[in-house]
Amino acid sequence: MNAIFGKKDSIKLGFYGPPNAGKTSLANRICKDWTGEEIGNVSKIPHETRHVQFKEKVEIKHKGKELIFKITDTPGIATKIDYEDFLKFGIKKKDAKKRAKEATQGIIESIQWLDDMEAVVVVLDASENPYSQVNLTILGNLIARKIPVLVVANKIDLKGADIKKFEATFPDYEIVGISAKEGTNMEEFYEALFKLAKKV
Amino acid sequence: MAKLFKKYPDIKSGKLKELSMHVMPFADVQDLSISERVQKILKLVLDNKIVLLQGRLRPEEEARLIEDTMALVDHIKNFQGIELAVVEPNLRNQSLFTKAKYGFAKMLVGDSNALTIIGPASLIREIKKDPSKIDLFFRK
Repeated sequence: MNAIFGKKDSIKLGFYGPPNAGKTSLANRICKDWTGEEIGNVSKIPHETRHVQFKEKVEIKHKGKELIFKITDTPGIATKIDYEDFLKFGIKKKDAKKRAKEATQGIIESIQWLDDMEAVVVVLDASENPYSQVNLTILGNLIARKIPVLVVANKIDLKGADIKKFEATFPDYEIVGISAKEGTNMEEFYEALFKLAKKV
Repeated sequence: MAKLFKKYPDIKSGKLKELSMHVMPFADVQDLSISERVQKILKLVLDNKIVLLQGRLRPEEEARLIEDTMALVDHIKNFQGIELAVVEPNLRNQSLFTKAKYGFAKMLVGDSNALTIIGPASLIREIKKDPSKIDLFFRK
């Protein structure tokens, strides 16, 4: 019906990346800013998001323009899961094993939802080495599927954050450095997001 | 022999006895479907081998490899997943002729100038890489 009246349906926007890069933190900030509600829980413990979560009809206004997004926040993609990594955070063995099991299923879910995305924000941790195979695999799959991508280097508030490293590693992408936690550079992010939406 | 055990205690404890590498030429996987390629690699990884694959997997094959790995982690006791790395020639600063040469070779035989390393995460702690070198860190 929307198409008949010339109004575009919402853009399916996915948040992808490795675990603990801040995908949910960024999705929460956007959802909170524009709908008043968050999308999911955040934690210092990796694999906090273990199921794909959605927020429908997120209307974002920027410089007099308005776009509607369906936001999909996905579990972090990794090639290995060891429940013992969770024990370091004080989680009991039984719960750590449960978390690991759910995390493996979450990764499979993330990959399977890729085909449903119209645009993707790849969220990376600005204080980590960008040259990781998981990052390259995610970007490679988006290119192969011809899905427009925006690369965000999150956590620029951290001491070891180095945006230049990201620009050198991904020279074909515009890199937006933000801190989802602090809300730093969000204007620049929205500018880049609207540019991304034009490619859909 | 006793001296050797003293020098390399891990041999005695059996921690390194299963470390082995499997070189997989591009021709071995060239005609296989995505599922067959991934299956062939994961069978070797589950056998505690580090696979050195000539060439690289396509992005969708890498994604399938991760999917199947996660399904296995969920079902096989003590299997924690894989370490995966691709080393490719760095063409960024190469001449147009060199780039064209690699591009032509890629068209003919796939990306066989690359090297893909896949191994069990329980054996390899980390693969650190830059375009010109690669370091494998093994679990103690």
